[in-house]
Amino acid sequence: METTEKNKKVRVLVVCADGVATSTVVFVSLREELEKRGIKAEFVQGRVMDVERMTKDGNFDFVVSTAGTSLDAEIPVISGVPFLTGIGREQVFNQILEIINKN
Amino acid sequence: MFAVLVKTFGAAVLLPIFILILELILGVKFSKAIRSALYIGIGLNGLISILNPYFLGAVGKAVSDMITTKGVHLPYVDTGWALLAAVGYSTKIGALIIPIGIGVNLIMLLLRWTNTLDLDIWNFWHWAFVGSMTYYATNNLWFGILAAVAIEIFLLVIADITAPTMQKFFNLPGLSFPHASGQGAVLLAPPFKWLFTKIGLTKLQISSRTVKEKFGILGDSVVIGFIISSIIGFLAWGNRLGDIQTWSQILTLGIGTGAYIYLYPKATGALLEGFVPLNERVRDILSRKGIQRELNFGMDSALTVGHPDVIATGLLTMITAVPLIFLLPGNKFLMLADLGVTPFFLASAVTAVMGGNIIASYITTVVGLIITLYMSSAGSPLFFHTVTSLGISLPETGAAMVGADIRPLHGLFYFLGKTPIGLIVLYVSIFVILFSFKKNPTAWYRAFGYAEDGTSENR
Repeated sequence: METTEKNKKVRVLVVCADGVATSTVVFVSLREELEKRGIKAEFVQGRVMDVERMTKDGNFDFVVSTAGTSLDAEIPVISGVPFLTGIGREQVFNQILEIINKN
Repeated sequence: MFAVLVKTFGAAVLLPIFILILELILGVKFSKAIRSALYIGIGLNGLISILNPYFLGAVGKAVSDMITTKGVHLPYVDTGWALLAAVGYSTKIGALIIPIGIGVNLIMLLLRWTNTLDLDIWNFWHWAFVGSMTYYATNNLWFGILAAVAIEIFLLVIADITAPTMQKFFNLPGLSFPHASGQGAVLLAPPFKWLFTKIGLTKLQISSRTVKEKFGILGDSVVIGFIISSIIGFLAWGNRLGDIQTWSQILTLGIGTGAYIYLYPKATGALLEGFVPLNERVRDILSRKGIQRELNFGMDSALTVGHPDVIATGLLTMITAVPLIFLLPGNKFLMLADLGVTPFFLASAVTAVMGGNIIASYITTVVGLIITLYMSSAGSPLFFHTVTSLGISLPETGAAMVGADIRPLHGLFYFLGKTPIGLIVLYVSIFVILFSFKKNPTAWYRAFGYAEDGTSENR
């Protein structure tokens, strides 16, 4: 059991094209995975167009995007597509854990 | 019987129960299923009992006054696509669409008519919406089912045809997009591309970054919504600007519209959150069982809308929508809540077919938007009738009423689907396309923008 992640609180910005549909699917399943590991996370949803503005002073740890990952953000942007297709979900989730552990 | 149930309980109670039953049959854990049903109820309730009536009440008076004082005839108010989804899922067609949709997809896979396994269950609402409209127009369940199945088959075929182009352009290998809005204007793209190449227009290039820098602030649909409703306010009450009360009314209207555009995704979010367990369960069952060959997974076109070229095209189209709404002859549809949605979705497949040429994509998408405005003008009366038949109560707003943002493919399948001849035309055309595509896939891939030499680049 990894203990480092416990009692951490992360702030995640989840974005998609319209700020509703696919970002909801992603954040619900990501929240479930994180809860299982005892990681508390706060999620904010947004539109991909607003990433630059929202990350500037939003104090987020990372961004999960279903609408492309080459965005104007200074924090890590992770693809949310694997949470929709189920393919490559493990890898992306490990990537996320890595970011959480680093902080 | 069903109609009585819907009227008595209302969609906000019935749909959750229906989804709960479906989830339990498919083996979703009970606690999870209950929670998801509750969220669907909350989302629907938020939309159709709180937000929609609020917005219609805020805008309806101004729109009604605008019609009577200025003769600007835009009676059908767009309160957003979520109401279309809610209506789609609240009818008999909606209750049947998930099993029928999955069944049709599996049969097509077995017959090798498609390579797409659609895992985007939530977006079956588009098919349910087309089917429900057709059902309420004809009073015949079969017409509704046949129209819904027709658009599904068509979308699976068009998803296959556009898959190589879109996978390459958006860098999304293994996915395809049987999404009625994202593919909404795709049929325009091949002829337009041919024409634009012929007249040399495709040589003109502007970069997505320039567009974003120039029109950045207008990229916020809340801002555009505020502008449009202020225009409505001036048109409606412009004759008494001397009265301070009028200014208060105009600004309240602008803020009210902004509030709605900001808040309605939140309610839709709850509805979608409720849909997640079903979506995931179906995906797990299908993707584990179905694969004996290389398949593309059908996904929401939203995945493509973040591409800079699509954003730029959508942004320009959204800004163009403002004069179009007021000046397009014969338009009766006041697009408002979907301004930040429809232009961007219509741009999705088009931009990929155009290889990211923003001017070519923009012109094509604007034509798609014009078709949308006319389809919505023509289809909104029946939508209003359907909404009231479902027992969704809306405020009295005089000449203004709730309209439906009917995008090109939704409109095409609804208007043709409600007559026997139209249905025959639809099915014959679909199968002609299907078998022609199976016979010569490369020609179809090329027509829809695929080029081996890498002209449709990734970013």
